[in-house]
Amino acid sequence: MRESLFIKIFLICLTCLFVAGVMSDSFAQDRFPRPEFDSEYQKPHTHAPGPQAKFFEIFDIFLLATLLGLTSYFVLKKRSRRAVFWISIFSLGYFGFYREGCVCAVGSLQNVSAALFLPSYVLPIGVIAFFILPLAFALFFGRTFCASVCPLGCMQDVVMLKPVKVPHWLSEVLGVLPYLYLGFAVLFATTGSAFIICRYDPFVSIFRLSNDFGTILYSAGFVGLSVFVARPYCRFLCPYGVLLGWMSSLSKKHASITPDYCTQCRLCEGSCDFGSIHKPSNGRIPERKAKSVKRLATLFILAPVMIIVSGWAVSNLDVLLSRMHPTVRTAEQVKLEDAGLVNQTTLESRTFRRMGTETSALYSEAQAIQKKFHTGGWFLGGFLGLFFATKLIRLSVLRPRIDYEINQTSCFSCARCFMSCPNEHIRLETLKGASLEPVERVS
Amino acid sequence: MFKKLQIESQQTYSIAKGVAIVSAFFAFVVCILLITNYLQTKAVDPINNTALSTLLNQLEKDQQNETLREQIRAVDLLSRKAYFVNQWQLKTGAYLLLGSVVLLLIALRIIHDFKAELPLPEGELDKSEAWIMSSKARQYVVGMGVFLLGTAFIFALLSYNELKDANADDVAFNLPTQEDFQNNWANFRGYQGIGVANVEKAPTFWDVESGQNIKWKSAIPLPGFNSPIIWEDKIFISGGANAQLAVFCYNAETGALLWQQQVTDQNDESLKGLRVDRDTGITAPTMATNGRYVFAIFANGKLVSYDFEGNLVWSQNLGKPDNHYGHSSSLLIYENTLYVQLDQNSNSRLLALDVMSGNTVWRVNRNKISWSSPICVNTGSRMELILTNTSSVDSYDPKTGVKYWTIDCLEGEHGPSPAYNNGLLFVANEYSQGTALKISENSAEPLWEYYDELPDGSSPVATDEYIFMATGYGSFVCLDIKTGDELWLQEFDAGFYASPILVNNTIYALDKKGSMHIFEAANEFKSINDCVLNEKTFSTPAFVGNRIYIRGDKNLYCVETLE
Repeated sequence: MRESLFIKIFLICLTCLFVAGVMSDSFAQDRFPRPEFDSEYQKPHTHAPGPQAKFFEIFDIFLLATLLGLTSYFVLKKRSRRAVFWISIFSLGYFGFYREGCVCAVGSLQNVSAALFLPSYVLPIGVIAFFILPLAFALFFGRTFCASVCPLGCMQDVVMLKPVKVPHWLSEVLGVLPYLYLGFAVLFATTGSAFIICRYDPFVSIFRLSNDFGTILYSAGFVGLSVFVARPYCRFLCPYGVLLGWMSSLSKKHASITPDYCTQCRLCEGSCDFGSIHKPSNGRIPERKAKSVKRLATLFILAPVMIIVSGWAVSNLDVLLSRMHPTVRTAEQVKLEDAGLVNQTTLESRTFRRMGTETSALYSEAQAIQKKFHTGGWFLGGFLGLFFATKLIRLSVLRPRIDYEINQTSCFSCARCFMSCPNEHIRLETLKGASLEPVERVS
Repeated sequence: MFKKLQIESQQTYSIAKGVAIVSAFFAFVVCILLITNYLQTKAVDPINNTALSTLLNQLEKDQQNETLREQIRAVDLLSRKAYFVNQWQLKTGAYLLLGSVVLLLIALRIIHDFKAELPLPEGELDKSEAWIMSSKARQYVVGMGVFLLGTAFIFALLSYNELKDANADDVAFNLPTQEDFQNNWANFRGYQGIGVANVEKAPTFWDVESGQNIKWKSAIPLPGFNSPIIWEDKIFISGGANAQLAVFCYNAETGALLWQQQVTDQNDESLKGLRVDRDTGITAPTMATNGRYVFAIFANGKLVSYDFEGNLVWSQNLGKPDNHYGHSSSLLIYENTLYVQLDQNSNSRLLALDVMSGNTVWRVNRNKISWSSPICVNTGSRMELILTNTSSVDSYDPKTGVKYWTIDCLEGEHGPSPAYNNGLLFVANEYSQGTALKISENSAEPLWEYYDELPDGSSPVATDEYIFMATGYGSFVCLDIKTGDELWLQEFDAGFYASPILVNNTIYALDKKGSMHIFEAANEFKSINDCVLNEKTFSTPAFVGNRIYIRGDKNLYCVETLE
């Protein structure tokens, strides 16, 4: 009953928010006056909108913390998928459509990275909160942010109607992409080049109901994909998810499939569309022990080599990667124009020439940026090399598991698997009078 | 309780089903309407309304027709209204579509949740399955890593750094010595830019019509007021007209045009809207060379560097100078630094650029406009880079740009460059005054002033004893360097734009009509000869070896005493 009341209150709030949004739009003043159709037209006084109220920054933080707390409560204590779903609808409406997807925790990692490396970059308190709060909650309660607070995740969750199982090997291979995305996002942010997470956000054009045709197609493609592949962005692209996964893997109060004990009934086996349930394993590797040991030893020896080779390879992409930086692009364009190798000028090159700055200064600045990319490339390559080495080592050892367990790193705490456990039904008393005895555990 | 829950669930399911059907139908209708509206919006373009265009054409023929005007206004109003209404409909439709899709999705979600059956396990539990999956995944991850690494290698190999040599220093080049600079004519008014030629004897007679002592004569493709510079067997000038700027290289021995390089083409926007005085033109600044590269600057602020074969080494756009007559300050080279005096109405600056790379070695901001050129002289214990503008004379350390001293002794729109000899600097400008300055450690002391015959474009030249000045209206004056007394004044038929050059003890002064007046650098006017080119001349001649190189309005001349 209490849950039903909560949902009613929640729906009333949602309706109020919607009405308020519509009303505010109705009273909004056009920024630019409408054209003069006839001589009797009275031009309205033009005024620019004021800066966004500080209220919203604080309110967003408050709401984020509240929703994270509520989700954690409903996932861990109440084990309610329905509540998680309605919170995710609210988050999608507020953080997605009303706040138009900005500020978001996913993109905030770029702001934080830029603030760490660019002295002139100022980090607003709202951005800091959006970066830290989901990580802090993940550290204690798992990825409850992904469950129902992140508008990107909620968007995919809502349209997830016919999810297909992604094979484990493909999931592992595609799982490389978030690390790549994270590395490049940090590199581009710290060099002041671009915020690629925001630039290639697949859902922001839907939230804002505007963008160019190509981006709308890209967004529509992602939404379409999300119908058949469960949360493709969260699983195979989201760079912030990497950090959340690290935090979540350390959480002590993470959601579990069963509220009590695992009966090894296998009913939860196929309940996770994200492939985040570990099956029981006897830990016995069906090959000669010497072979496994040799493989593992080779991987440990190769790990530093992988880090160095990868670092060297990415650092040599400095020229290519640095073209993401507008200064480098302008410098190259100016040089090509001056050498007569291109006929068309660009807006940037024309603007640069009107500024009266010396070309050599532009070249020097661009070369300094290229150097940053070279150094950054070493770190990024090293990071990726380390990631590959760790991943291969992880895939070369087998941990014995007695029960069905949640993969804390990749689990979105969506609470879908709860209802597949008979013990959950007993807890909810939907199986009146039933009781289950623990099975004999075989290791 | 369980029964009640079941009933509630059934009700929710039925509602969700109804909402799904209604919202899907609504979304479909809105979609159709939106597409129709979009097509209509594309058709209703108020800018290119054909009916309106027809009426406007009619109005051009019948401009007094008030009825037609009213009709145009009405049609314009209608088409705009239609356009904006369509825009509003599109926007509103988008919101309605979004709303209905959201509802549909929620309803479908609920239906899906109700319909969904918990999956049942398939087959027997294989406890070694995890290892098999890990092994397979490991192989694919290795494949992915190799693929990524290979891709990175390929991209690294294929990517070419356009900026690799943009500012590269060339350490292999041996810098020319001061003696090299003395023996050549590397910039405006020769070594140090003070108009003193380092030659023993120059020709004192030539005749263009008979060709006597004219070693060669070559046509100049594009006009310009800049003066020739010479390094060994090559002569460089620049020219420009009709949105074209170019650099020309001639063979000093034969006069053959070795190469020419277009600095701009017809599409270059930097010359569009550039307003310059016709007495200045777009190629007034004289080029400079360090014996390996040659440098040219133009009125549009374009600074280019070519090697002696005509290959572009580097180029910069310093921004269109805010100069109402046009930029005319010539380039100057000292050791491995190229100096650019970019005095203008705003953003005046002096740039010291590395000759090899074009990198800015240092830069100082200046505050006034000028049309004069810098000089770089040894004032006893150090080299000083001296510049003038509309109010002051400023001295800088050529290595660092640190200002040594400044003195306000000028007025008006200043064109002539300073004269210098043995610690004494002389600056002058028409409608202002001439001032002799004694340069000491950290200051310049005015010695005397002169107010009568003053130059406007031509720069003065100084010897140990005298100062010689040519004016724009044809008078030539000799002053005592110690006292400023006017020793003699000679009137010529034509004014002077070119600066007089001191060759040993002889003055060569080229007037605007092409007559070279040759006379002794003495305390009384002693003419040696007057040689006529039969061509207008505005550029300062260059003296190298036993030759004189003169740029006429249309031709380049080499004068040499031929046996």
